[in-house]
Amino acid sequence: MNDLNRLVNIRIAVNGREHQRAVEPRMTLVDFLRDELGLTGTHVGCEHGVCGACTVVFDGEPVRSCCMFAVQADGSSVTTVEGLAPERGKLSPLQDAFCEKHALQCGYCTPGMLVACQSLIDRVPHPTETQVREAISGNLCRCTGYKQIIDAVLYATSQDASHG
Amino acid sequence: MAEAQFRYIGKHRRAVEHRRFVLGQGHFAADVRRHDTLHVAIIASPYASARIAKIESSAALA
Repeated sequence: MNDLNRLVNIRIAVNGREHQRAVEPRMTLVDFLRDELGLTGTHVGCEHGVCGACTVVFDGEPVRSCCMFAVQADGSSVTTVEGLAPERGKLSPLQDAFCEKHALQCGYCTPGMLVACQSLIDRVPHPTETQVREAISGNLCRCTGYKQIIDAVLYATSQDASHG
Repeated sequence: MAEAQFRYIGKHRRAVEHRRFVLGQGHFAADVRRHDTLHVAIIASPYASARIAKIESSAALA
């Protein structure tokens, strides 16, 4: 038995709900979300911080949940793709815009894209195209290209967008 | 055939699967959870030519 097997008690608020678990110190935050909490919306792509598929909001900042340990998130607040919708059965304006503008095909990068873009919108309600490009510069998409994703963010944040 | 007669061509349509993807409810291979899942690890021998005398698996099975 070494320190890696020693369980550590942590408490993390995910999408507004408190969770308490005993985890190994080497467990990554994304594995905690997916395997401990069953929140499989957050995806694992490259597992070394290149693809952005695992992006979550950590205390207000977009972070790669594959590159931090769950124990580092102890006492923190995390938002995942499952926490973006305003209520059950509804889409957020950004989620709706992704559908409207065909900002996805296979859907694998989508949770990370949504979280990164929502994080931008929370800071800058009406971003420029350059700001959107900058916000998703750490997220890879291998099917759609980035045009429709940028279009969706601009659509969601434009004054005349109507959302249902 | 006049364009107006087309049902899909030239029309804006949402893909039915988009909704579940933007909600984080896609179901990819890595998301499949089965309680009876077995895991496999393939370990290459460090010896180019050798005879297997014994396989000690007790630590792995522990």
